[in-house]
Amino acid sequence: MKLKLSTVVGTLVLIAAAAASFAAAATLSMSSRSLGAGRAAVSVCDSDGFSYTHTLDASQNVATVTVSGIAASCAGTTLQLTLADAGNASIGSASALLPASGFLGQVTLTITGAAPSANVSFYRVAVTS
Amino acid sequence: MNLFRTIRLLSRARRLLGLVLLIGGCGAGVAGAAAITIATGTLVVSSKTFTHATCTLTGTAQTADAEVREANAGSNFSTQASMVTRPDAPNRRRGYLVFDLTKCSPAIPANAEVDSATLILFATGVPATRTITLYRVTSSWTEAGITWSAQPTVAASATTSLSLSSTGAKSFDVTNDVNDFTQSAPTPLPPYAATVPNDGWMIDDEGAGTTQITFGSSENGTAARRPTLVIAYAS
Repeated sequence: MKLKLSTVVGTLVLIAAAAASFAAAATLSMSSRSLGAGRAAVSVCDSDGFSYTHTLDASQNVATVTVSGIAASCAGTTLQLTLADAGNASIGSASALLPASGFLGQVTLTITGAAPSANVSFYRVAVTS
Repeated sequence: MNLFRTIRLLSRARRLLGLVLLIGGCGAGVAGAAAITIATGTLVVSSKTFTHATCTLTGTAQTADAEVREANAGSNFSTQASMVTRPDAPNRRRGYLVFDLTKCSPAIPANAEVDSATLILFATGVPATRTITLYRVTSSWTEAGITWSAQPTVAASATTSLSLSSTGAKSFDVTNDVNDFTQSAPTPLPPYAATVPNDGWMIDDEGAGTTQITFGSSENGTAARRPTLVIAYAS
């Protein structure tokens, strides 16, 4: 088998473009292991979304966010949360490893960065293996 | 084909994958400066969009309040135009008030996250500098039934306190309490194990002396002197 770099890059761009076509989807999942074969296999660990609660510090910045409703199949993965303002700029973030055993479907993240609650327009969450 | 060339190509392709998916990954709704880099092995990408709103509650239709007096332990003082605090036994006086959050229009959505909540009390009489402390009430009470002898329970720790040295509108930060009320209802979300009931606050002067601080009540004839709760929330 003979592979050319341009072929590989072209394939990846094609896959990325295909991902962009799912702009309206609330959840996108993919497995990198199938990309080389030209197929976008779905390996979703949670498909029904999450719930959120927060706590605030004395300045009314978001201090912690508890993400719940995480499916047990996400245990052992890493959850990354980004708080974004109306302009979609990141104003706070946090990440945590979801324990592989004894996972109760929720995690409380301590937010890094001063994120006034009134300025938070989006939570962005990624769960990665 | 040379095996080493294949490995080298795949290695370069893997490095490019992160960059390409970051660009194309905008399709998952993650875009701009706040984008999360979608690495290989991504299992879920999700987002929540918040809309911010404000609710202001005031007046007798949205507030229940009363004063209790130690010297008249069995009497109810819920229809007068003011509430008085006084620290000295056996003449202590305290105020209680609660706002009906269901009267917000539009209604506060279920499990809403509070951005801020401010209780505004209008001090009409401040003869000396005093520290006024608010405690979250932790058991139910009624405006017509509360007396010194029948006071509800309150939280062990104060919600907030404020030093008063003049009359006028005084703002107390009750954000965390209201955040607990809204986020835990109607169905508590983690980390709440149960709904945190909204039973309002007790207004107290825990100092010494005989000074009486007077606040306008919800029955006050001047609207600006009535207790007001301003809630900014996101959902």
